[in-house]
Amino acid sequence: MSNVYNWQLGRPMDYPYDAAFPREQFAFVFNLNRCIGCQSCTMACKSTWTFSKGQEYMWWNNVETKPYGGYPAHWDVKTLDLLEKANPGGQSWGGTPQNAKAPYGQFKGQTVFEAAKHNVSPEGAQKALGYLPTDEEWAGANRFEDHPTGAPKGERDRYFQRPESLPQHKTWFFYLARLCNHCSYPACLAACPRSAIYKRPEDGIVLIDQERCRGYRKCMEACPYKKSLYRGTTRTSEKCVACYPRVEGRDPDGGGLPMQTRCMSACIGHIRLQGLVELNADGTWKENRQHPLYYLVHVAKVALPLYPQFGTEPNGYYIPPRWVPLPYLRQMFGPGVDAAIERYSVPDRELLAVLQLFGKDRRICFRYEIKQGPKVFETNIRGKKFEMFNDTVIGYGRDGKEIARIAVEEPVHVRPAQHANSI
Amino acid sequence: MPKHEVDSEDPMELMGVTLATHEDTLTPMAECFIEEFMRMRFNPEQVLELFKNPDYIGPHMVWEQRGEGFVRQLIADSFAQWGRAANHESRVTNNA
Repeated sequence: MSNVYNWQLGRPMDYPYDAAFPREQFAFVFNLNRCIGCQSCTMACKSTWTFSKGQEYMWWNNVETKPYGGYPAHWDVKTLDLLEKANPGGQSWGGTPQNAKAPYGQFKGQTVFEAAKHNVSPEGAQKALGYLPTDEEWAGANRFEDHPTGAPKGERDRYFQRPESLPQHKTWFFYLARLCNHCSYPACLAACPRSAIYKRPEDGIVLIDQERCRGYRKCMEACPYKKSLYRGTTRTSEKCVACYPRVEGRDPDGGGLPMQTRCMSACIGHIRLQGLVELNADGTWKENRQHPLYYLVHVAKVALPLYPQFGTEPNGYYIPPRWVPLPYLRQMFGPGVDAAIERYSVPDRELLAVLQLFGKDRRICFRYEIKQGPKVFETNIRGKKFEMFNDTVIGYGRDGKEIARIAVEEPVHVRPAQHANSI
Repeated sequence: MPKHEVDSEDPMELMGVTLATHEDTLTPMAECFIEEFMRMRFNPEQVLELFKNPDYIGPHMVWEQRGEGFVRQLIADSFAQWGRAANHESRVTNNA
């Protein structure tokens, strides 16, 4: 075991390999306040990467209804349960939030790597505490999550058929869109007995070498997010490849510039913003005040990692849904939740402008500038003074040229009915 | 294919988890969706269509459980709160 620094936990931790960081890291922010569960992202991914034989139950990108659902079923509850059993009552946070090296304070509990050391079976200790989901848990993505009705055995589901045959959920819920987090300390990579999983030095994308993989499924067992999946027809594991040809700028649509993945580009709710961030030698994010992801994660601090306590340092960040009870969100996104929701509920001038960058252009934004506009409105929102300015945010691509220009009060242009679908 | 077909009658197949609270937050959720899509320049009628569409299950659940009148009122209140006129073409200069 090596000792590596995990800035999301605010402390060093054990990891089976030495730390090695890419030149840039693939990362994304999802605004869960906007997700309406339309599954456009899911289908964009499915139709690009997992439409072949043996991939029928494979969803590299999925949207699940929390807290009821999960793909595979109960993935997070089961991993949290394993950690709780390994360290009863000890999975807590402490310390005070500091700079970019410890923005959420310090995690006092055990990560999946630390807890695994004590989980010794006849096969030896696991590299990361985990479990292998059953076929049934993989097979029913979204089943009963929103539609408490089922089809007769052997027939296709007809979700919208009424009436429901089971009680409907009447309490709070939200949609959680997920894909591989391309972690800085991937548990899948740590657990692979074939060293078939690697993290690319240029962009931090985590890939499975299909030539080396023999389908032992140790990655599936170890990944706490359960984003490595087994394909029976090839007898290998597969996972999200972060649409790497697009990120490399090889999609002709991007004119040579790095583009966001298919799932990001297809989002109709504009909840997604993907980018590449620069890292310091210790793996913390290099200060880059005008990078939209740096701003959202380290300046505004409205975007938080998913289950940071797992210890893999995931590179997917979420703006938590503001209507969900805080204890649940604290467990899911860590102690930064309270401040994130408070800030997001009454967004300031800069945040309102940066949020406009979400979903506006398929090319990756590396820098933004804000051109100040006139004040157009002021009021009190939930007891706080709110001023709205019609600023314009300008996004720039890898080559420093402008790729997007959006006003906070962006005008709407409606196509006439006879040209509704023409391009 | 899995070894066992999923049986809709099997209670173990339910996505059942214990919730920390039974708090009903449908109204703040609906408010949030209205504000988000308002910021994306949807007008009140377009936002209402979102709630009426059964494909958008979250908003639609609110429309089903609380009724269209409730949703219409919430949309009107939210637009007014953030200074948007009902016709969405002009901004209300009401400092509440």
